[in-house]
Amino acid sequence: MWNAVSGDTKWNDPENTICISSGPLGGTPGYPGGGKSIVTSISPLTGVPIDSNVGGYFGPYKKFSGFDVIQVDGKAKTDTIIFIDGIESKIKIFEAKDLPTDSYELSDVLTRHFDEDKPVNVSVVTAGPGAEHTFFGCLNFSWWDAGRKRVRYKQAGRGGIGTVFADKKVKAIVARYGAISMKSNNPADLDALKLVTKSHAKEIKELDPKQNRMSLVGTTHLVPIMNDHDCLPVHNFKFGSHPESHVIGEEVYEHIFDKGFDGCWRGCTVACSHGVKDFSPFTGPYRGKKVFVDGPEYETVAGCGSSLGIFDAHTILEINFYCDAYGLDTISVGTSIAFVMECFENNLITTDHTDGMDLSFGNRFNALKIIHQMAKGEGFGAIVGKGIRNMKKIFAKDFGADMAFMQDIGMESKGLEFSEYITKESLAQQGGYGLALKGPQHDEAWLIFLDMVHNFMPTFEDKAEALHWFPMFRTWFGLCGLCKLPWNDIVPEDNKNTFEPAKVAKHLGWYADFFSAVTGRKSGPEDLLAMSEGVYNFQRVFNLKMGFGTREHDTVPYRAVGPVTVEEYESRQKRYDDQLKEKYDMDIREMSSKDKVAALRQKREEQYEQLKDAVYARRGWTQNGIPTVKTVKRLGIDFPEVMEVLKKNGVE
Amino acid sequence: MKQIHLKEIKAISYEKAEIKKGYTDQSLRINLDATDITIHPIEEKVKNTFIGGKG
Repeated sequence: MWNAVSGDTKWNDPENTICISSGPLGGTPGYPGGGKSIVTSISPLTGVPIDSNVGGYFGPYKKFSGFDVIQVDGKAKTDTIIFIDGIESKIKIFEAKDLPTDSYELSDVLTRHFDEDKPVNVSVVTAGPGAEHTFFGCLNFSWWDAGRKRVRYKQAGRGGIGTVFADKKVKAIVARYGAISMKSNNPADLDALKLVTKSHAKEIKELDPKQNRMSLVGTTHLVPIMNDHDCLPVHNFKFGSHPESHVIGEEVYEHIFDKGFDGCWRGCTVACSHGVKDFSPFTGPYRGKKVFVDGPEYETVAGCGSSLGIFDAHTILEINFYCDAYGLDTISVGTSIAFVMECFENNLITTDHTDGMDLSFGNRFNALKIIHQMAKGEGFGAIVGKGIRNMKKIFAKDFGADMAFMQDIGMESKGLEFSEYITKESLAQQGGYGLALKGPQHDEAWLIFLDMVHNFMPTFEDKAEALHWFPMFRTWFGLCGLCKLPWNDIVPEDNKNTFEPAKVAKHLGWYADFFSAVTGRKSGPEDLLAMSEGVYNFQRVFNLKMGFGTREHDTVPYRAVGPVTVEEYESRQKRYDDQLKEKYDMDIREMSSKDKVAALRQKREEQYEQLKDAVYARRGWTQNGIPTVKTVKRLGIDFPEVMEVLKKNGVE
Repeated sequence: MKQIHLKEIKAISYEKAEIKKGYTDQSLRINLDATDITIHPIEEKVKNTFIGGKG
């Protein structure tokens, strides 16, 4: 992609490219999470490369058809389908007419069209009408669910790659391939691969029922945990818990999810891709019909449920269904609508601007109405579909809204909407979001659990070290074609007694064995980090090439750091008062709540800047957040083009 | 089932690369401006530096 785009390339220029890669380990049946793809493009929301990690069978089918990576660039004039047929060794491009408009039906129709007798041989990548009309379109990656005899899908959700896909007039990319076994990757050491696969799969099978029960409840187990730790977004990240959260968490979804095998990859023992059958929407084109809903996951429950004040499992399912069918990222949809609702409740926008819709928190009908508008590119939904960064500009310019307040409450960084964790009490996760290359998505640095739930990083230095190690290592999974959940969501029973429990040493050993067995490059756990550190730094320089990638862009809205309003402060008054008194040694007896908000803000913002200093130093970057020449040389990414970008930015 | 209409506008046959140790060492490029399908080798150095790459 670096070669395809210039520093001036915009997301909708023909040279923007969509790449899909599945890494050397991707496509290993039976290895938990062993079939992921990573998708990249220049994002319509951020203007820099976005990457999105996704399940489904497409990545492995594409690789076994003969390609480590597929790159799509240019723009078609008419609706187009790309077909990679690994069985017949043919690649075809079609002009398409009379296709279903939504991804739900399109995935099904194309799967059956391209292999009616053996639909399991087909995986389809599609977007949808929402992707055409918003900046946060997602891609659906399908697989055939043999047990239920239906098409299922997972989403490459973040950053609007579906929007780029739709802009290129690509309706679908289809891959077809036949039988897969452990030999398909032609591993260097088949016996070692079988051993490590069996060991990891067995451990997950034994321990998941005792730990997270993800094979039963998916990631909805996080709802009560986050609620208990005051980290579940409620009302646009104002609060971190709600008494009604139990009606949208695992307690409910366990009973709604359809029973059966739910792996988005073959033989995965985490098998967390649950869904709901015979669901009947009460709005939109599928109103009254029975559909299968793929999901929801934690992010959708929190983003489209609690953050909107919607404590109703049925509505969350309906939002989930339509977001997928329309090709919309549930995280950006949820976080954007939450922002709109807070603006509405504060009279920054009124019914004059919202097509008459009351958008108070909890208004589920109008939340759904916005989503249906997004699919058509109509009304107020068309504005919401441009994302928070653009909405702030529109609301200020056209509606006279207070920009400073919107900057504080608009949960975006680098133009990407936040995923669904309250970070006010976790400095490490503030950095995890603010310093993430692509914007605030937890897959790059999900430290909240380690910081808040396990308290694995009590000191400032621990946090800076974590913000070096974790983003680098988490990058490794995407590069190799793997899912991260089996690494640290389910951990060995004696893990807490190990030297650095957060890193899950036993699993690092298995991943090193896995990598060695497939590629033949003998690697130990300590080698894995070096593999991804080069790529991570390369992506940072890529951001720089695109006109970003410096300190000023690593900011987060104050809502992510501390209480913006008196209402928020007073909702957790004892906590904040104690901090001012004990941590900062202040005499607060004469201070109003407003004064306290300001005092706390000053301290917390200083702390965040200090964190940046420490993390940049640890990563081998300048204090402006740019990798030094020494760093890029050490990592072997000192290509002439990289050195040129550094030089242009004053780093020599 | 809904009737769809697909008109083939470009097709190639290719020799499928043998997979070695997790890699095919090939990339596929679809250029929609020219309706062009091309297959390119992936260099060893790129593979070693970027592992599976992100694109």
